[in-house]
Parts: sequence; C-alpha cells; structure tokens
Amino acid sequence: MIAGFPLAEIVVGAVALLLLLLMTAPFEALWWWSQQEEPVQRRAPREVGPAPTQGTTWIVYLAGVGTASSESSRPEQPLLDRLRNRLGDEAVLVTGVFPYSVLDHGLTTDRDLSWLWRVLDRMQRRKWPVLPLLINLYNVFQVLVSADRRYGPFFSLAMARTIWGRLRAAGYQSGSGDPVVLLGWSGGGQICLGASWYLADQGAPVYVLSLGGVLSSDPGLDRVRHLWHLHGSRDRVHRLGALLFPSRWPTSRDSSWNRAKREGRITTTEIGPYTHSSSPSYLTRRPQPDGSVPIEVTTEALLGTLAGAGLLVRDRAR
Amino acid sequence: MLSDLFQLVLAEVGAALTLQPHVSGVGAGDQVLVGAVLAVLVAVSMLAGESALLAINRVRGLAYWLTLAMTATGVLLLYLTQASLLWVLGIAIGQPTDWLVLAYATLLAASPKLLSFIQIVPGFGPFLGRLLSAWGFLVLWAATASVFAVGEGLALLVAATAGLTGLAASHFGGPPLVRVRDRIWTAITGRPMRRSSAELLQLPGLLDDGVVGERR
Repeated sequence: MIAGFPLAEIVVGAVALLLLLLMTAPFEALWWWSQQEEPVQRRAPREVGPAPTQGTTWIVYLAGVGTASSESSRPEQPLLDRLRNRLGDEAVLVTGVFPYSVLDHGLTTDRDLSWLWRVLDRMQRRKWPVLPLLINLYNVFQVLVSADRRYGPFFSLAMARTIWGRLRAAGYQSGSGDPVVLLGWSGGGQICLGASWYLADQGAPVYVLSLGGVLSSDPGLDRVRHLWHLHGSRDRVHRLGALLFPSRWPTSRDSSWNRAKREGRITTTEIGPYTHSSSPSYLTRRPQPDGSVPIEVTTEALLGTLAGAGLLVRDRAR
Repeated sequence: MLSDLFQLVLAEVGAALTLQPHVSGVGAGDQVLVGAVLAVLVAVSMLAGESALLAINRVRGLAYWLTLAMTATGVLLLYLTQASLLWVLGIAIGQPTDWLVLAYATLLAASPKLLSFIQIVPGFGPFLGRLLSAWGFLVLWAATASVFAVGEGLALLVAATAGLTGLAASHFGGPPLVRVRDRIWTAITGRPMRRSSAELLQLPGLLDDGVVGERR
C-alpha cells in the first residue's frame, strides 16, 4: 500500500456511491408511474383475430447492458445486420428500443447528466478501461429494477408500451395473431421477459430468445409461449440469473421459471465456447482456430432456433 | 431544546446499534420522548423503503401524512406489545421490571429499522430488510440481558420468546388491522388500497389505446 494514499476513504466512498446509485435506480420507474393516469380496466374481453394475419414474424431486439442509447453504435450491430440480411422478408426486425429506461430515453439524450454519459460512451468506443463500466452498472441496476417484484410491474408496463408502440409503427396489426419474438442480449433478456406479460395480453403469441441473458423468474414467463436461452460455454455472466434470483432455485418449485421448465417451455442451448463480452464472444468476427466465426455461429443459432420452431415464413409454408 | 432531544436520540440509537443499549441511563420523561421520536423516524424510513407501495397507491400529500401516522402507530403498537410480553416473561423468571423501562428497551431494539429506507434497493431490498430485523433482534437480546441483569443464555431465551410471540401476534393480528386500514383508505380516497404492485399484472388491457396515459 502506498503511504498516505487514502485507500480506505476511496473504498468507503465507492461503496457509498454504489449504494446511492442502487437506491436511486427505481426512481425513474416510480416517477413514470406517478405521471400516468389511474388505469381504466378493459370492459369486454379482448377478441383475438379481427385483423387478418400478415404472415410475418415480428422480432424486437433489445440490446445488452453495454449500450448507452438506441442511437449509439453498438457492438451487436454486425449481428443485427446479418440477421436482417438473412431474414429478408421472412420476418420484420424491429430495433431502436432502449431497454434500460422506462422513458425510452437513451442515457446520452434528454437527461441532466447526458454530457457525462456521452463522454463515457465515447470512452467506451475507444475501449478505455474502468470508467465506461458505469454505463453497464447503470443498466444492470435497471435490470434489477425490472426483476424486482415491487418495481417490475411498472417497469415492464412502460417497456411493453414502448415495444408495442414500435411494433405498431413498424406495421404490426393488433389482433392479427402474428408471432412476436423478443430477442434480448444480456440484460435485455430480462427486460424481454418482463414486457412479455403485457404484450401477450394484446393477444400476440410472444416468444423470447435470450442470448446470454441474465434472467429472473419473471411473472412474464407465465405468458411466454417458449423461451430459448442460448449461451456460450465460457459465459459466466448468464449464470448469474440462476444464482442471484432465489425464485429460479429448484427449491422454489412453484415459481414462474420452474413451472415453465416443467411445462417444457424453456430450452437452454450451448452454442459454442464463447464468453459474455471478451473475445471470443457471441459477436466476435475473427475466425477461431477451428475455422468457425463466432458471430456467424450465433447468427445461425438464432435463425436455426426460429426456423426449428416454425417461426419463419418459409418454415410455416412447408 | 429540539437539538438536545435529537442529540439524545442519536446517542441512544448509536449505543443501541453497537449492541450496548442504555436502557436505564435516561429519565422517564426523556424515555417517552426518545421512544416517540424513534417510532416516527422509523416510520418515515420504512415508508421510504416501501416507495413502490406508496407509488402504486399514489400516496402523496395528506394521504402520505395519514399513512405515516398509521405506520408510526403500528410501530409503537408492535414494540409496546413486545414490551408487555417481556414484562410478563420478567415476572416468570423472577425479575419483575418497570414496564416503561421495558417499553424503552424494545423501542431501542427498533433502532436498526431507522435504516429501513435501504430496502428501496432493487433486487436485494427485501433481503436487506431481513438483515435489519436480525440486527434488531440482537439489540433486543442485549437490552433484555441488561434490563433483567441475567446471563446471555437466559436473555436469548426470553428475547426469542418475546420476538417469536410478537411475530405470531403480527401474523395473526395483522390481517384484521390491515382490513381496518384498507377501509379507512377506501373511505378517504374512494379507491381500494393495492397490497403490491403485482396487482397491476391482474389488470387486463393496460396496453390498449388510452388505458394508461400521461396525466395532463
């Protein structure tokens, strides 16, 4: 230890800052709810099927915790480009949702501290160490808000509204019964599960495709037709979900997660020797010693899952 | 003086948190004041920790003050019930003690609950709440040993009996009180009180156009 270096003070300060950030994490969701009118219950049960099917699968992508805004360049953009190219007109890929804000505001816009997040975002793109992790930290805390039984119902309602709005803007017809696949990477997987509850209430068959997702036993699972959880064998982060959320433990037999598992609605697939974010990750574009390209393997795994479930147009036509 | 009172509260709480409660070093008048201030502060902290419940019920303004008063009363009732149990147990072990001293000791055991606001933390909040309850029990154990001047083993037995009986009382006696609280709430606000934000999940059609919208 360096003489005179206030290590203890720095540690105490860091812990206090962390606690403060954690304690303020639910504020945005609580404020959002306070701005909403008291909901009026639907009078008649929803009829499914008044709108003709468009024969298309709608895939909504929710980014991982490293993202600072829906506009900023993302490491997963090449994956999305590949998916879009391969899907062609077999499915509609909807992007642009910022999953870590109930207001759908990226960190870099419309906030008092936007300037700070922009600086951190630039540092992240230049691969600076440590400080840009604050972006991940902020988003991880929002994942905790989503997974918390007390705040999750607000948070997920707001996210579902954003996703529903994007789907409608992209041309999804309410009542068409066309399948909606929520594709979430990392923390985005949990946000997908939370939003599923309300989206399914609109009569849409909802599926969740998680790529290395950190997932809780969200009540949304009760309305998810199927959850496919794809992960790399060296990804330790995705295991946090099973570790941190007691309702995923085998002891919670009647939890949404364990019920869905018993009903065969959860499929877990290992897609390769990938880590969560360091190379080789799901998104690595450099060929590996065995000649495989991780991002291609990931793309194939995602498309193969959708095709295997009959969610792509050509598969349904067969 | 108000500042003297708060200094006294701080000193008493600090001692309790370090498991060295001053159960007999304060005059009876001050004990009542410190106990009352502690109950109100604990209630404020508990309400901050339960922001989700306040938000889902849109508790603000007069409703907040009413909820605060009810919570503080609830805290007082719970701990004074525990004090009464200790009083009975004291007689049973041959150490009859002044009820006011026991009431003060049990209220000091609520000191860790001053940190209840920390339960607002997403994910781990409820777990942290349980840690605070465990800490409170340790204070109660230390206070029991001090008040009855008995060994740690007997003090643990007495404190555990009082604590468990208090838990059972709040488990069985809680629902009727909650029903009364809900009736008062409905009478004042005109809408039923939601017990948790999970009730939102049971409302169908929340994504329908115009069902949930921003207030003008």
